[in-house]
Amino acid sequence: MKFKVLANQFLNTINRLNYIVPASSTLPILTNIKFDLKGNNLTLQATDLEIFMSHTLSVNGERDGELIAPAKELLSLIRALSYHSEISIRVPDLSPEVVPDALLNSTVFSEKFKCDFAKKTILLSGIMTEDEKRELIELAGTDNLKSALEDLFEKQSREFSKISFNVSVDEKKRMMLKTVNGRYVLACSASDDFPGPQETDEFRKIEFKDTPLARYLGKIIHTVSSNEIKRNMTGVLFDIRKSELRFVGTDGFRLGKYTKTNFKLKNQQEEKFIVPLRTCNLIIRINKTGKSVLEYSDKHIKVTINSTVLYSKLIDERFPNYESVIPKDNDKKLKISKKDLKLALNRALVFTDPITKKVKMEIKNTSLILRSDNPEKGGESEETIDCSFIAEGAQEADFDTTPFIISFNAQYLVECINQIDTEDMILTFSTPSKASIAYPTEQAEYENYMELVMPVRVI
Amino acid sequence: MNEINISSGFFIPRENESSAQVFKRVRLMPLYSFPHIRDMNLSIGEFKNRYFMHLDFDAFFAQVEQRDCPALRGKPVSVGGYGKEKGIVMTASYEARKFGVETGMSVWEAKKLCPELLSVPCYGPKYESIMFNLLDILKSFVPDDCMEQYSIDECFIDVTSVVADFSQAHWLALAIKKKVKQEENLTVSIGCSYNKTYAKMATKFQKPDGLTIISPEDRNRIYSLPVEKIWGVGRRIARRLSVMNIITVGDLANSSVGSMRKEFGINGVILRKLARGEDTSLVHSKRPEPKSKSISHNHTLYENVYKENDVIKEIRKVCEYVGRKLRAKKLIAGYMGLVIRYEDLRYAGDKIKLIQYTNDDRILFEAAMVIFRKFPRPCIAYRARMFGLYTFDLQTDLRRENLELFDKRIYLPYYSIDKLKKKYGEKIIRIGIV
Repeated sequence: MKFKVLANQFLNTINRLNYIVPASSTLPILTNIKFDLKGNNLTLQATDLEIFMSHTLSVNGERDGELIAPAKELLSLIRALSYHSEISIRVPDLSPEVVPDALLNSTVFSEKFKCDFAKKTILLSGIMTEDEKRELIELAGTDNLKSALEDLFEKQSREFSKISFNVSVDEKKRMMLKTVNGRYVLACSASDDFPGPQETDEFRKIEFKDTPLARYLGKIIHTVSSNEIKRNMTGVLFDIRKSELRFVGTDGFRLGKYTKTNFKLKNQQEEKFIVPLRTCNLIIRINKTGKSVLEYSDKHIKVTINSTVLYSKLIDERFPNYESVIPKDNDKKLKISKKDLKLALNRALVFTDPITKKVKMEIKNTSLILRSDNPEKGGESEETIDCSFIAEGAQEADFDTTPFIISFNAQYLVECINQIDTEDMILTFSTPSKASIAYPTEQAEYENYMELVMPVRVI
Repeated sequence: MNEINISSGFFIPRENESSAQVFKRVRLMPLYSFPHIRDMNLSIGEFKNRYFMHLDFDAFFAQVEQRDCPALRGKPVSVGGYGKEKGIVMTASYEARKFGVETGMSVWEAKKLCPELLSVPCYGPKYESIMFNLLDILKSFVPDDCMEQYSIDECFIDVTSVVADFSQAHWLALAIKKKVKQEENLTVSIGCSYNKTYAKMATKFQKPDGLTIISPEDRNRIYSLPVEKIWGVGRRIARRLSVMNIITVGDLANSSVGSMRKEFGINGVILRKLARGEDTSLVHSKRPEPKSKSISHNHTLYENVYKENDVIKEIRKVCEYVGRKLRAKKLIAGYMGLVIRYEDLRYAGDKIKLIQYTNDDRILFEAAMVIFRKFPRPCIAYRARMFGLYTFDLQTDLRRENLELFDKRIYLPYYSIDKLKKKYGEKIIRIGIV
C-alpha cells in the first residue's frame, strides 16, 4: 500500500474514527483502525462491535492494499505533526469592529483561527482547506480581511509539502510516514480478523435532504436516559409513520417529542425502532451540515453522511407507550419569556437541594414567583418574573387570590428551555401532580417540538 | 434439654435506637479497642489521683441464659449457633470453659471437647436490654457523663468525682456488685486503677465475680503479665514483639521509644505508653455518630435455596431490610449493589445506578432483580447460600420525589409503616402484591 494524503484530511478522519475506538477492550484488535486503499479511495474503518464507522478519503494512491494500524499512536503522531504549521499574518486595520460576527462565530474560524487585536495579527493553527477558505472569504466583510485570508492560504500552500504525508507499507506490515524532515514507522498487522458490519439486503431507506438528521436528534437527545435499569429508554425512538416522522426520547421523568411533518413514506411499512444514545450522539457530532441518508433493517441502522458511513445495532426492547402519557387536558396555559425564566432558574439552581433540584413555581395571573430552598444547608431564593397565565375553560379562574403552585426539577426545565428557538415559550398544566408540556410559541416550518416534564412532589 | 427453642426470627433493624451502637461497637472492636492518639492528653505524663473502673459481666450471654433457665445452672452451656451442630460458640459458661471450650469455636468442635455441652441460641435484644439496665444502675452511683459503654458486656466508669482514694473505690465497687446482684441477679467482675488500660487489665486478675485494685504501687503485678494481655496486642503483634525480646508488659514498658516507633509506627508509641500506665484517655460517654457512607445487609441462609420463588423472596427480604435501615437513618441512596454467594462459596456481585435517589423497597427490589438476571441462576446443583445488598452515595432524605411518567407506582407511607411495625410487631402490616 502506498499513497499520499493531506495532513488535515487525514487528521480529521482519524480524529472522527477515534470517537468509537475503545480505549481498552477484551478484543485488542478493536483498538486499531483499518486501512483499505483501492485506486484513489482510501477507506478507514473503526468499530467497537456495537457501532461501525467508515470514512472514505480521496488520496493520491499508488499501490492498493489493506492493513490495520493502532489508532492511538497514529492519532498522536498526526496531531503532533500537524501542529507544526502555525502561520500568522499581519492585518493593519484589525479591530473587533472590522471582523464580522458571522465570521467569528463560524465553526471553522473559531476552531482554527485566533485574532490578536493588540498585535493586529491573525493566527492560523492547523490546516485550512480550499473549501474552508472559500467559505471564510464569503463571510469576511472587508477587502483587507479577504486578502489576508488569501495570503494565509498561499503561505500555507508554500508549506504544503511539509503537511502532506507519503505513506507506504512494506511486506513486514510496517507503515512508514514520510514528511520532508522526518520518517516515522508504525508496526501494523494484517486486517483479516478485523470485524466488519453485517451487510443485509433488507435495508429500507429514508433521505434527509434539507435539514440534517442531527438537528432532529439534537432537540431531544438531552431527555434520553443513560441508566441501564431502563434499557428501553437508553435510546431515541424513531417512529416512522405514513405522513410524519417522530423522534422521541425519555428517561422516565421527562419526554421530548419531535415531529417532522413534511414527510411521506413510499411503499413502506410504518415502523418503530430504538437507536442507542451513543449512536445518536455520534450522528450529532458528524452531521453538522449537509444531507444524510438513513437506512434501517430489523436489527441495524446505517447512516450515510457525506463520505462517512455509520452502522449501529438497535436496542432490542419495547419503547414505553409514550402516546398514552402525553396529557390532552392541560387547561392552564403559561406564556413566559424564555430568557427571563432561564436566567431566573439558573439563579434558583444555586439554592436547590442537590438531588431533586426542586424549584417551586407560584403562578398568578401576571406574575410567576420562583422559590428554591435547601433544607439541609439552609439557603433559599425568591424571584418574580412577568408572565401571562390563563385557564382555558368555562369559568375564568382568578389566580391572584389562589395561585397555582407546582414544583419542578430546575435542571430539567433549563435543558428544555435550551431547545426552544422562539423568544417566548408556553407551559401548560393541569394539576400539580400531572405532567406539564412545554413548547415554543411558534413552531418552525414543518416541525413540531414539545417536551413533557414531570413535577416534583413533596411527600 | 438440648432443644431449647427461642425463635429470634428475622433480626429487626434498630438503627435509629441508641442500642444499635452496642452491636456496632462489638463489630468494630478492633477499631476502637485501644485509645487513639487524639484521645490522649499528651501534656501530662500520667494520671495522678484519678480513678477508673472497668466492669465486665462474667461469661455474659451464658450467665444470662443460666439465670433465666434454672435447668442450665451448673452445667456447661454455650450460647450461639442454631440447631444442634451448626454455628459458633459466642460465649461459654465457666463450667464449659474447664473443658477447653472457647469463644469462636464451632459448636461441633466444642461438642467434641465437651459432649455434655448444652448449646442455646443467642438472643441479642435481651442482652442489650440487660446492659442498659446496668447502665441505669450505675447512674445511681456516678454522673451520666462518666460512663462509657465499651462493648455489649463491658463498660468503663470514671469515679474520680465520687471517690478520693483507692479504699473508697474499693467500697464503691463492692456496692456496685451488690446492687447488680440484687437487681439483675448477675455477677460482674470489676477492675479499678488510675487509668483505663490498667483498670481493664485488673478485671482479668480475678474472674468470675472478682474485684481487683491496681494502685500505682502495684504496678509490678501488671508488669509481670504477658504482653498479649494488654489491649491492642493480638497474636501477630505479640509475635513481632517477641522477636524484639518483649515478652511481658514490663518489657514493653521498659523498651525504647525509637525501636517501637520504627517497628509499629505511632501505634507502637501508644502501646508503650499504655504499658507504662501513661494512658491519659478519658471515658467517652457519647461518641458522635459518624455519617454513614454505605448501608448494607448480608443474610446467610440456614438452608441453601435454588427455587426461583425462594430466591426472589430472599432478595425481597434483604431489600426490605436495607430500605428500612435507610429510612431509620432518614437517608436515600443513589447506587445499590447485590451480592450472591453460592454453595461452592463463589461470589457473584454487581452494582447499578438507581433511577433516582430512593429508600423505597420496591425500587431497590426492581434494581436488584436487574442485577440478579445477569448472575448465574441458582439451580438444584448450584444453590445460593447468601444474599447481600449494599447501597451507597447516601444523601439526606428531604421527602421530595420527582414523579415518574411511566411507573404509576402508588405512594406508600413507608415511614408510617415502619412505625407501626416497630410498635405492634413485624406482622401487623404487610405489602401485598396485586
